[in-house]
Amino acid sequence: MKMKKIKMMTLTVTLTALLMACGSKPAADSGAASGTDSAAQTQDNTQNSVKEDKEDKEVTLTVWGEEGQQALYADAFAEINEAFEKQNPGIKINYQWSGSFDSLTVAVQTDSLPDVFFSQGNKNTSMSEMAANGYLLPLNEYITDTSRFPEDAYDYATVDDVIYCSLPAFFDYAVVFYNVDTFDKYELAVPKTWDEFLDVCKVLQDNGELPMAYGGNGWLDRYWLIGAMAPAYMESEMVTWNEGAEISDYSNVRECFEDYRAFLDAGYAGTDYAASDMASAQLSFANGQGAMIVDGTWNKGLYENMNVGCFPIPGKDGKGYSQTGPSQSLTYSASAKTTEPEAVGKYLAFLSSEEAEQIMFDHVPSIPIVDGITITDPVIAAAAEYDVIGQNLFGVLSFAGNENSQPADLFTNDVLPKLMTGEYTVDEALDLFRQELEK
Amino acid sequence: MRKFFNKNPYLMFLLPGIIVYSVFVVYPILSAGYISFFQWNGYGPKEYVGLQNYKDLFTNSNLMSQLGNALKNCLTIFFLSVIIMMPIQIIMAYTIHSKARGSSFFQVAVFSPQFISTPVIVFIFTLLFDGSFGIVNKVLRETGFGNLARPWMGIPEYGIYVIWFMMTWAGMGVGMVYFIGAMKMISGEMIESAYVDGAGFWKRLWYIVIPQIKGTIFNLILTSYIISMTIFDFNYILGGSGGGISGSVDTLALMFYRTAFGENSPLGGKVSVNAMGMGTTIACVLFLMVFVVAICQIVLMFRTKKED
Repeated sequence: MKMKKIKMMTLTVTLTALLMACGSKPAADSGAASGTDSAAQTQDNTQNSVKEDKEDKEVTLTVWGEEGQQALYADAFAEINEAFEKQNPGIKINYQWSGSFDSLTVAVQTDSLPDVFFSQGNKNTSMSEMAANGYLLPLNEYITDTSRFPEDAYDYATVDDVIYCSLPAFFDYAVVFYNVDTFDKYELAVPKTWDEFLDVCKVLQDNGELPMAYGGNGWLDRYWLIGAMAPAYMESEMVTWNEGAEISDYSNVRECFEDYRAFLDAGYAGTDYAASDMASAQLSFANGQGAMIVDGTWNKGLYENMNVGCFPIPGKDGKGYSQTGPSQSLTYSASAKTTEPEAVGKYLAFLSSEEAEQIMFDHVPSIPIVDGITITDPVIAAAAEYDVIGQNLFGVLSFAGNENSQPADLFTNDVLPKLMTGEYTVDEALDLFRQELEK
Repeated sequence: MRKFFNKNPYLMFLLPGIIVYSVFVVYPILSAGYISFFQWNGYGPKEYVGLQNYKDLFTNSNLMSQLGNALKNCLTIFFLSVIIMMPIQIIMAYTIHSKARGSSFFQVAVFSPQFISTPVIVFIFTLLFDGSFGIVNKVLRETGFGNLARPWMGIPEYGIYVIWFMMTWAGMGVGMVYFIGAMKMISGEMIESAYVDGAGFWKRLWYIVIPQIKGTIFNLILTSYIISMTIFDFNYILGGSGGGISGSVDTLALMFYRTAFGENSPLGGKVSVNAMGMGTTIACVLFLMVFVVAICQIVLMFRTKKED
């Protein structure tokens, strides 16, 4: 009988403990139950992972790097973290490439953000949403000297003048990489205008070369070409949208759509671009099967084994256009619930230091926006030779959306792919685009 | 309480299972259902909107067109699986069950892709069908059919069929093993008498085997339906969260994913004001689609069993 009672009590206690463990609500009133798998995974990486080793008083910070950029930034962060740990003997960095937009969203909903995690600053509204809801640690106390950084970098890292992420030190955008050997073979010069650009494509095509390796299969893959063209065609319109206003004259947008379509119709991107993704296009270009490719400056390393050059996409006015975008390579935020704010502050201050910037630059050369870093790479130097910093079309369309409209989604998932494949005429694509923006 | 459990002692055995199931399955489902009644971006406070999310999903032309397209793709995979894959699985299972020569090797060979993860399966197929370095295209070029060489994996019109083909290649062995298991339950005497009466391979299969494994066929149809309606990985790898060009490989699970979490982009973007609210609404609709059909099928199966 006694044994029975003990067994019953054990069972009751076990079940109660199980229920209590599963029923605990996160502080942020999330109730996020749909992402159970991710939640379970992220719970392993909570701020609790900040452990203080009682023997040597060592603090370990869990840092989530950007999952999709591991190949690009792994070496740089290994060196950055090593340098940081050397300067701060009591702090260890547990750097994990597990930060993605999904895992961060789930971590927010389950109140399990790591100490430090990658941030897109003001390129994305998630930083301001997190800040507004008390998830982020204000960093003004730790990142005290921002005088080295331009205004854009400061704006990127702040919400209402409060710093919420380390400051960006680089700028990157989509340029046209070209195969120097192929250009030399046909005695082609770097084009200065859109018409010269088309002439170059024509010469290459007439000689049996594929002028442009283009991956149109993925939504982001197909974006790069028109994203690079956009500032050269409709910069003033994008500025207007960015200010929350509407435009009445869509003629420049039409011209952009028409020239994009005409470029593809001319066969300058081959015939199978809709079935190829960016990886295929990059592979083709790297193997000499395409004379040019529109790709981000951050991917310059992919083409290191070939004789490559680059130029900003030329407009009809003869200017070279870039698209605005501070690099997120070094921008990280911290959880408001970290148990080690001092150590976190030191780490984020280090990420905003010249030393960390130089290490990043040595591994992934980009266009610096701070003083003290000299461009030695000729390709990056060429990329820095733009005349105009234009708007980022995707960002502009994202912020132009409201409760009733999502122009960025419509553009990337409907208008652009169907314009690309010819399923929509320019008029149809333009009408849809316009309707969404005017909602 | 003690009296109650003394009268129904079996409940004591069921209770732990029910509690664990409730906590890990029922609670998340109810919780998702609860969130679907709110407008919520996943970060800030929730605003109760009642059934508005459901109303929006079924009245907003853009959402409705995405939902219709995703459903069409899921059902395409389901019907292809039932009409083409399942008969092949039954025939292969019966071949192995009949102990044809080399059947053991055949069984292992067909089942082994099950051990390969989805990204690796896609990679294997990429090695075969890629436009630049795929073996199939290389062979086409070498044999003078270079004009036919194409990046087969990415052609939007074939997208959903490519997905189905890869799924079939990987999953063929699983259904086959289920059918072999069911066939082992069939009385050997019955098959032998049919053989003695002169019934050949096909007749035995059609008149003896298939009627006897009806329950397994029903079960696997239901499983195929659930897999088809909830498929995500192949489509995500091939078409991204957008579901490919014109939603060529879009599915309901992908639609939920991109609505709830947005499209990850290094370009930044904006958190949708109702990302989680609408995302969980789609998840609930998907759950109901699977649940209702599953219940119907189970009821139908029990009735058939009773009649038998």
